[in-house]
Amino acid sequence: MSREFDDVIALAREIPLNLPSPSRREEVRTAVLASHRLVRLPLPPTRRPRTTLSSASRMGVAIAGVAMAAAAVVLAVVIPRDRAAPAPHVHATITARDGARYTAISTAPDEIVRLEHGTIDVAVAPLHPGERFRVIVGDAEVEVRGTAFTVNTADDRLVSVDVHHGRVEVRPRQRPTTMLGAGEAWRAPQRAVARELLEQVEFELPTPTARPTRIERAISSPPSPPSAPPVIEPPARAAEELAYDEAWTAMRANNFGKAATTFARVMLLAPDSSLAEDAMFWQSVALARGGKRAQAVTAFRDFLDTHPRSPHAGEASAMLGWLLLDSGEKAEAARRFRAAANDPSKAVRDSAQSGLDSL
Amino acid sequence: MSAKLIALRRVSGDAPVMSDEALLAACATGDSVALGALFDRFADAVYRFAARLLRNDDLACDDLVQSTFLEISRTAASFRGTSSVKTWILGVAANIARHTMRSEQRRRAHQAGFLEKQQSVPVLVDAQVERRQLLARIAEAIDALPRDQQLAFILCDLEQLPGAEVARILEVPEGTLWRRLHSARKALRAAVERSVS
Repeated sequence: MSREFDDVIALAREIPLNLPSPSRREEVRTAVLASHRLVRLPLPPTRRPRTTLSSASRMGVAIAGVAMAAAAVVLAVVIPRDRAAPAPHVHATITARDGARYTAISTAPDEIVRLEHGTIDVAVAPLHPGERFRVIVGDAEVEVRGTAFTVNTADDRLVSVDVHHGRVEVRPRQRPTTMLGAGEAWRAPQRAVARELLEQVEFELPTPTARPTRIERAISSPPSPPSAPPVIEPPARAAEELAYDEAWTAMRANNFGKAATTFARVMLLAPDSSLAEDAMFWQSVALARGGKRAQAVTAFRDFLDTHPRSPHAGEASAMLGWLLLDSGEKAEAARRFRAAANDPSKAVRDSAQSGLDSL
Repeated sequence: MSAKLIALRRVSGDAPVMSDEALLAACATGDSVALGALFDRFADAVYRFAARLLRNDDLACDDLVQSTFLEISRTAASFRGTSSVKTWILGVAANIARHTMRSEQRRRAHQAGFLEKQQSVPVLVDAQVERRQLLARIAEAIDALPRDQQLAFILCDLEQLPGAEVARILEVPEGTLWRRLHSARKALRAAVERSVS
């Protein structure tokens, strides 16, 4: 370094910096891990998919192969990896009540369960030093150290926590942190609960007990005799279809954050379906419309890498081109516009041409 | 370090004692525990870099940090060991800032800085106040630099990363980096001199 500038550099190092509070840093960390999990969902078919537990409906499918007679659904949180890898270290046994929607985001030493809706009972084995177990809700975080407790949410908001034994820390956003012991409970303010219960009616998904899945029906029903007339039932709407509709409702209401999250849930619920392809595209659009430009760029790139022959590929290329053009990445923007220039849709072709002209 | 030395293994609960390179390699296999450990190890450095670059705009800093670690999870496999992991991670952050962060924050910061300047007390009566104002002028001067000069100054002079590594991660010739750095330093010196006079 030239000594001529030593004093300027020393002064520049003294400029005070606003570094994040531990809780803000933790929020970002959790968001990174959650997004990482979602981005990796559409795995190529040669890889063994991770089985996470994301909804009561999916759980019903898992349970169908194991024990249909079980009255309560008890499932250990397991995320299998590649065959050669050792089994991941997990501490929690989760019992989902009807309609609960949750996802295991990470394993030990920092286990995170993302609970979006409904109630889960959690039993956590004693943790080793440095290990954590958390349940994250949209507006709160519940952290435990070797305990059993129940978390109840409605539409991504924490409604209540009941501790059966051990200790639990409840950290609602914009409200004070509460430490609960055995037999203690935390309740959201009454007005919020009433509002959430009202909203719950709108967002409730059909549960395996209320409406068995196709696999459950296949296993539990005795085979029909050859002479029996065929039973015609209206097809049950799958959880991913309902989530897809919910995402579109959010999209139409310009609630792009919720739309992006809910499209991501569709990908979680049905990673191999054609709906997942659509959901991935619309999640990218929702991110772009919600102003999350960097994430939208990543999402569009992922979409085009994963589904290069999608009917949405041209549109995605053109939209990605514009985002890249705005951020000064002209070379890639040009490549994306050129990829969209022969799209069957005239609107997409025109947009791509307009992008190329702007370059 | 050669890429051959990086074992492709999972992090199995002892992430805190693994080397940076091993964590990155585990992250390349999709291991979210490794990603979490990398975050714990380097988030402060990325936040510091972001705060310097984005004039302490909290939301923009959070966005940059989040985007950086997501990009790391996508591109960890491309790490070739030609720089330290810290340099590589800050390079990822710098490239995101260079390519995807919009200039709105900068414009806002400029406007805010301009307004502050208009309203500030013109006569300095106290040495501490004088020093604070000098630092504010330097911060404004850094903010006014072209993005490439800003990155060169922050990475080389403030974060003290090796110039050769910075040039490599920013994908510019070393000579170009030194030129940018020199221009940045000159502009800052001029700002200090204006402030003192």
